[in-house]
Amino acid sequence: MNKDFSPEETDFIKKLGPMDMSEDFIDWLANTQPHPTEDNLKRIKLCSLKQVRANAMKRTRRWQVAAAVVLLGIVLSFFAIGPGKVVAEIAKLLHYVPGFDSQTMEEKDFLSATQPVVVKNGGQMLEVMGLVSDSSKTYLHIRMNEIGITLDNWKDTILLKDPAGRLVPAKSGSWSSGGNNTEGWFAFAPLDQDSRTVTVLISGYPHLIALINLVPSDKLMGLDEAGISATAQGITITAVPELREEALVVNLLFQNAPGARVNRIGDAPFTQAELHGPNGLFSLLENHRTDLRFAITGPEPEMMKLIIPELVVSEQEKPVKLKIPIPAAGQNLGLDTKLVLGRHTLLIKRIERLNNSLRIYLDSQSPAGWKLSWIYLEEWESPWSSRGLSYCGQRDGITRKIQYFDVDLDELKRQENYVVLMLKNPDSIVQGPWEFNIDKNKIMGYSTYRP
Amino acid sequence: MKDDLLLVRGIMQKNSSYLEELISQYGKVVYALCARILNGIGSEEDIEECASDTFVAVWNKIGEFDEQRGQLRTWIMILAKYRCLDLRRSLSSVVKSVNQKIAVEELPSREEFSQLEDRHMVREAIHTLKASDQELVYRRYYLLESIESIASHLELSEGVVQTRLWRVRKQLREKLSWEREARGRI
Repeated sequence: MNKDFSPEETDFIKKLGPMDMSEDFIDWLANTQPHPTEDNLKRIKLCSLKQVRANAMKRTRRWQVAAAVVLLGIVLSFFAIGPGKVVAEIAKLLHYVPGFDSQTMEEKDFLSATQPVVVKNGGQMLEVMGLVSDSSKTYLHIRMNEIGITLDNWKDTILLKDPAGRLVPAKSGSWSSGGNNTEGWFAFAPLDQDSRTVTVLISGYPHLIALINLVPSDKLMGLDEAGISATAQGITITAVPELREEALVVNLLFQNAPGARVNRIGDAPFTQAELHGPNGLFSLLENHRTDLRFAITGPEPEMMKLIIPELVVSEQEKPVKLKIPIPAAGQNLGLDTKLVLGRHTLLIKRIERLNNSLRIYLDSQSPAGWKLSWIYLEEWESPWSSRGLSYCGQRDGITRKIQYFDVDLDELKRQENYVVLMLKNPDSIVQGPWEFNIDKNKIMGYSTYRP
Repeated sequence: MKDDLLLVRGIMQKNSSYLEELISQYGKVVYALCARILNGIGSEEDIEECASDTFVAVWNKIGEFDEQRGQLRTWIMILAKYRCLDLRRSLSSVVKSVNQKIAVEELPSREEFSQLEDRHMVREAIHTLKASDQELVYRRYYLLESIESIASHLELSEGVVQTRLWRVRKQLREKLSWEREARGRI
């Protein structure tokens, strides 16, 4: 036993149980100093969430490898025909296509859902965000609540019924789930281009049937007619508002700066989108990448103003290799390594060895209005492969720029006294604001369909 | 404030907004525990790291939480204490002690956690102490603070702290022996 504790005390601690945690003790602890500051809590949140997301990405990667073997056909077909292709930047038609966050389609002529459709049954919900069909495929974008789909059943669960009454199963799909919610994109055989309706069915949920009205693409509104656009930092956002139950849903479409993909609206918890009315702010209910939902209780004011103060964008740039030495335990190593990642110039300043992890301090210089807030790290293995890592980072509480990363040494395949990392997909905070004046009269009776 | 079981369910379904909510609810008390245990040894960053690791452990181990065996808050605090003692041990060779090693190695199994009658009796006995004596017990025997640190925090001499601790232990011993005798008679 420690010399600081007498044998009698040691015995007492053993009796107490070294991991004992009484409710009285926790209550006492909660009421005594030190209490964390808001900044402490923000950093704890940020670090925890980054870690669990990094782990989730790692798990996803493992799953993808397994899925690639087992479901090669599905994966291949998905990559061949996935929404990224469909919503390709080939055609120059600037239509508002509900449910798809790019406004350009591969083909000039296609069918589209006129607007999103929501069907509810108790807590279960099916929301058809959008449906498009050209001569090669039909794509469906949906959100669901309390409806589970798995790798085993998805093909038989998400179904379309064409106007002739034929059931059309999904051919490929991609979805993500969080809590009770699932959002997914599914591909089906093409519909007859004369079709004016199609039904979306969820097998096993007979009350969730969504009848979708379709229109040819030339009947869809142009972006200028459908929404309001604002540009900052080379990124144009078109906001298309609609009223749904007691919410104002603002669909967002981005014409991005080259190589950048909008990941988040606002940099929560620091900044978020705001909807201003004459009596103050409306509550933000949901913040998706492609739409915002605000609570509107009571009559809608004549004018509202939506302000998007910042965006978080991911740059899909070529990864950069970083070879760093591993200092001895407890040692620091000053560095002055410069490298360019996307729009940013990184300066790797110092490496610190903390027990079994490496702390990599860095600074960054970015174009005006852009800040480097995060970088994805992997361990470089060969010119063809890299592997995911568990790591944690710290952002400056004021500038919100990334300050350092902690990489667990156990995770690395150390090459003697150095490690080689891949730095990729930098996240940037892009300064706006993007401001949109929303006229109530233009929301009411709003439709994407021009009869 | 969300119901604990709702939080547990959300985290089991790997919805990170529930983890965020959990940190909002329990971040303060976890931070307080980490700050106490790492007091004088770890930096503010170490404290935050330990708190953050605790919540990542909650995320990863949520399947092990059993509501029948105790409250969510208690389970989180046990995870936090485990991490803090581990970090404290590795942070300082000066403070490194056999005692802490015991603390980590003798982590009770889930079965043991709710079965130790003795422990329950000790808790009950501590509960009957006056607040100032409870604080001494918590600081010394739960948080393993040094006499010097306790004396400094409470603005007492080390001798007074030693004496008060001795008196508290004596009081607890007596209460516990009465309790055992009473139970024996039943």
